[in-house]
Amino acid sequence: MELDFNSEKTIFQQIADWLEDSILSGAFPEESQIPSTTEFSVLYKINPATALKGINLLVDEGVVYKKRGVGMFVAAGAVEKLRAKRKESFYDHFVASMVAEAKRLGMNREEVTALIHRGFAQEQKEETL
Amino acid sequence: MSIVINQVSKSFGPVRALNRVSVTLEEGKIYGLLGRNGAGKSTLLNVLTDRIFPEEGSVTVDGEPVRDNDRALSKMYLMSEKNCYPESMRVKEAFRWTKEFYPDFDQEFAWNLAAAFELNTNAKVNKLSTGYSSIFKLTVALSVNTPYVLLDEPVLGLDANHRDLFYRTLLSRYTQRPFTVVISTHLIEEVASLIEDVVVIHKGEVLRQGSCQDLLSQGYTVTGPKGLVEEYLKGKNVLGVDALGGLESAYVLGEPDRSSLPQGLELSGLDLQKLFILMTGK
Amino acid sequence: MKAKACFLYQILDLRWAVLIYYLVIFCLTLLTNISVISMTSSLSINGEHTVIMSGLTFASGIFIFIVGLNSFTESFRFALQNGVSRRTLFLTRLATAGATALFMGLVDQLFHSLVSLAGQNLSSGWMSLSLFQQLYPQAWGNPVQGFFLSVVFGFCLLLFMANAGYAVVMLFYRLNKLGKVLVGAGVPALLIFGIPVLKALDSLYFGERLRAFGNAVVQPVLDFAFHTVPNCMFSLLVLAALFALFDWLLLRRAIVR
Repeated sequence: MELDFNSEKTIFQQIADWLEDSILSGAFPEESQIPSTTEFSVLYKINPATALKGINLLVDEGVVYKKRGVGMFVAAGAVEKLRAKRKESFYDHFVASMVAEAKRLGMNREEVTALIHRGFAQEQKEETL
Repeated sequence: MSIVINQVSKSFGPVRALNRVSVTLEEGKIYGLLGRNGAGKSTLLNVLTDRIFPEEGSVTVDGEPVRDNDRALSKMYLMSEKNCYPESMRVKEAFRWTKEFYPDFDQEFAWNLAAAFELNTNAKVNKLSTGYSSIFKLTVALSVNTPYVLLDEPVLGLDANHRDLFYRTLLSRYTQRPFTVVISTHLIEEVASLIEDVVVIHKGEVLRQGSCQDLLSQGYTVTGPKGLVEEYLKGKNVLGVDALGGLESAYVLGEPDRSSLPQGLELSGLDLQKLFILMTGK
Repeated sequence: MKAKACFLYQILDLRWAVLIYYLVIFCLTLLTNISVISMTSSLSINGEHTVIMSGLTFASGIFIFIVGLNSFTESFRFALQNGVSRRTLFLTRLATAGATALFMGLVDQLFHSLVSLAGQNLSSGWMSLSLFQQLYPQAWGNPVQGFFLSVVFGFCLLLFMANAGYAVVMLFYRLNKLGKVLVGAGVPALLIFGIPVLKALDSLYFGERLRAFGNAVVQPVLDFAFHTVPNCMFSLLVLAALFALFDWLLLRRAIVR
C-alpha cells in the first residue's frame, strides 16, 4: 500500500480502505489476524492514533474484532458484509465518475458500454491464462 | 499529568522572543512545535527546561514548578541544538553518565540504536559531525525513558535513511510505552503524519494549537480554471491562492458546500505544510 | 539521586588533574632531593646540614583554585542537560570542593611527614614542613595531634581557595564582555597601584588618618583572626562560606549559553 499524504482522503480512511481491499481479496481471510496499529504506525511513519482510527472504522462496521491481549482479527462473515457495502457505493464511486469523464471526452453511451465489455473480456482472458 | 506553560514572556535585548505564550503539553502525545527560524521554538524549550528564565509567566511539570526543581527537571529530556556534553567525553561515556542521571535510561537499547545508526561510540561527542551529533543526541533521547522528551530540530544533518530510521524508532518506542514527544521543527512535511497535535508559533506568539486533524479540517483546497475559482471564492474566507497558468488553487477556511460546487471545480484537503506557510507567511 | 550522580561526575572529573598534580610534585621532590644529596655529598658536607622543604600547601592551594576556575561551564551545561537543578549543582560543587580539600589536606600532610621521616632515617638532614607547621610551630604538640591539626588546617585553607576559584569563575561567567575586561584589568591594577595610591592620598589629604585607622582597627582584627590556630581555621571557613554565598547568588541566575 502507498499512503497518499496529499489526498483529500484522510490517512485513516486510506488505511481502512486498504484493509477492506485486502480482506475482499482474501489476503486476510476471516478469523485471521490483521497488522497491529504499531506495525501500521512504524511502517508508514504515521501517528498510532491515526492507524487506530482507521482500524476502528472496520471495528465499527463489525468487519474486524478485537481479541484482548492478542490483536485484531477479521470477523466471520466480513467478506459478505464488505461486498454488500461496496456494491452499494459502486455507483457513486465508479459509475458516476466514469460517466462524467466520458462526457468530458465526448464519448457516448455505446462507446462506454463497449469499453466495459472489453474490460470483462480482458479479465476473463487473464483468468484463463 | 502535563507540562503547563502559562503566559510566558522572554526578551533578548530589544527582541521579544516569547510573548505571553501559554501551551499545555499532555501526557502521551506527539506534538509538533512548528515555527519558522527564529520564531521562538528553541527559546520556549529552553525556558521549559529551566535553562533560561522567563521574565514573566510560569512553567509547571505535573503540577510542580520547574524552577530549580530536580524532580520536575528529571521528567524531561531536551535534545537541544547546543551540545551540552563535556569536551572530552566519549559517546559510550555519555551513555554511562546518562544512566547515572536518568536511572530509567535503557543502555542496551542505546547501544543497539547506535549500532543501527553506525554511530562510533568511541568518538568524542564534541568531535562528531552535525549529522552524527544529532544522531548521538537522538539515541540518548530515544533511550532515556523520561515522560517528556523534547526534540529541537531532531533531524538536523541526517540523510534520508537516518531520518527514516529515526521516525520509525520514535514510533516504535512510542507505541511500546507512550510518552510525550515534542518535535520542534520547520520541516513540516516530514512530521505532518507523525504528530497528533500542533503548536504553531510565530514571532514569539502562539498562532494555533490543537489537534492536527482539527486544524486541517478547518479548511479545504479548491482547484479549477481561474475565472470559476474566483467566482466561487466570493464571500469566502480565503487564506491564499496559487496560480499555475489558467489554473488556480485556493485555500479556504470553512466547510466546503459540495452540493453547490460548480462544474469544473475540484475539492481537496489542506496539507499542514501549506497551511503553515499561509499562516506564517507575512 | 541526581545529587549523587552530579557529585560523582565532578569528583571523577577532578581525578586525573589531582593525580597528575601529585605525580608532578612527587617527581619534583625526588629530583631535587637526589640533586641536593649528590651536591651535598660532593661538597662533603655531612648530615648536620639541614634542608627544609616547604610550600606544598601553598602549591595545593593554587592548584585547587585553578581547578575551581576550570570546572564551571562544562559541569553547568552537563548538569542542566541531565535534569540537575542549579541548587543541586551548587550543593554538589560544595561537596566536591570539601571532599577534594580534605583529600588533598591529608595527602599533603602525609607527604610532609613521610619526607621528614625518610630524612630522619637516612640522617640526611631532610625536613619537610607544611604551611601549618611553619605558621604555628608551637601548636604542633605531639605528632598525632599535630598531624590531625595540620590536615584540618589544610582542609580549611584549600576549601577557601576552591570556593574562591568557584566564585571568580562564576563572576566571569555572569559578566558580559565589558564587565570581564573591567574586572580582568581592574583587579590587578588595583592590587598593583591601589596601596601606593592610597598611601599617597593618605599622606597628602587625610593626614595619615588612614594609616592610623589601619593600625588601630584593621591590624588587630587581622591579628585576632589569624593569630591562633582555631581562630585562623574559623576565619578561613567564614571566608570560604562568603565565597560560597557569592557563588550561589551568581549561580542561581546563571543561564545556559
